[in-house]
Amino acid sequence: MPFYSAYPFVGQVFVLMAFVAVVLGTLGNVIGALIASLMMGVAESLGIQFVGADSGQIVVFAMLLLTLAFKPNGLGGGRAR
Amino acid sequence: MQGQRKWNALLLAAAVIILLVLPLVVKSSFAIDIFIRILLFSFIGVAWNLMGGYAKQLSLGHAAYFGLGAYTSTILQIDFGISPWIGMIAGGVVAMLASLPIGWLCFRLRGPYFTIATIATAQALMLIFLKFRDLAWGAEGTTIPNLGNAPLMVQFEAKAAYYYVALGLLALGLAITYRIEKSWMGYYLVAIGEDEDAAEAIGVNAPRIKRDIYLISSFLTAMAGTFYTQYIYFIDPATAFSFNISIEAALVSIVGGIGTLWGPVVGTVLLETTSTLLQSWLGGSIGGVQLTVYSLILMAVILWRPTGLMGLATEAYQRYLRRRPARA
Repeated sequence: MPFYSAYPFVGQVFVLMAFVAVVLGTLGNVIGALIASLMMGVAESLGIQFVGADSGQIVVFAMLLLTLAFKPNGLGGGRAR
Repeated sequence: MQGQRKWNALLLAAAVIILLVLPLVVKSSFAIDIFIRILLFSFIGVAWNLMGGYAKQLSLGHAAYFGLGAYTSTILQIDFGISPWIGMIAGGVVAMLASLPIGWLCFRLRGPYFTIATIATAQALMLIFLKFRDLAWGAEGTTIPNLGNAPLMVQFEAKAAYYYVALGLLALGLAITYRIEKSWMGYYLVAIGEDEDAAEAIGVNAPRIKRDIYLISSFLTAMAGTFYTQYIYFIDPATAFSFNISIEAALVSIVGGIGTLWGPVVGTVLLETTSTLLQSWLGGSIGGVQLTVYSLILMAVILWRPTGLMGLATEAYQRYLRRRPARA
């Protein structure tokens, strides 16, 4: 199912979100990244529904910043770096 | 040592004279535009370098302050008729105020967590300016009213005037960096950059130092934002908060040599001239090939010269000193 058209900079759409997912789920924690990306998907969809079609990502970034404020190593926990 | 000092002063004086005379000699407005871009991005790089270079806090969110500076001065100018000269300072103050909560949040994080948090703040700010139209002009942005030749409103007919403003900004940034580098704060910053825990153990108040340097860095970045908007006569969230500005600020410093006074300047001169020259040589033949070549140069520098070009120059100079018979 095509979501995005193919153009040279299409990778930028994904690279930032991938980075956010990995950090949110704690670096090196595969299950954490999986859970984080699922949460981000839901958060973005909710944002599109309730904030506006062009700014669903606000909710994702707010979620990331809030999470890091309370859990500086992401949701996966583990030892502090 | 005395002789070297004299040489440095002479070199600096020569560079200043060349830079001051340059727009009188070069008449092509295309060339002046490139010079202005080089000066502007050097200035942003210098501002980034204070925090990213000396304290090694790899922020990729400086676009937040660039955008805040740009928007503050534009809103003040269009809605209240206040000169962007004042707006530039006001924008800096707004950016400083914004850097306090952002810094409070981000500085508790380390490494990639810090980087992603700074990216997130910049992106979130861009989306806020896109979304809430009452705040500014939403996604469509706005043009700055053209007043002709109005130096008091930072609008000039001659491109050369913008050049001198940019040169002044860069000189300010370099002077501040020089002062900080030579003061106790510079040593604290380097100590934090080397090993934050060790620095705290010997009594460096790391959170306070990082907060202070973030204030200075964001103030300078906001000034660059105001200048850029006045220069291109247009503002919208996508250009003012562009992720590319954050990247560029970090990139020029990394290529030039982080934690050095002249690193960002050297890096910008190399990167901007290469990208412009490549564009004019190759851009016409095969579309996009200049970006590929540009990226390859970038990769080569980062792979083989992680200390940046300033590191390369310093090593070469030291080799030269060693080879030369020692004289008193």
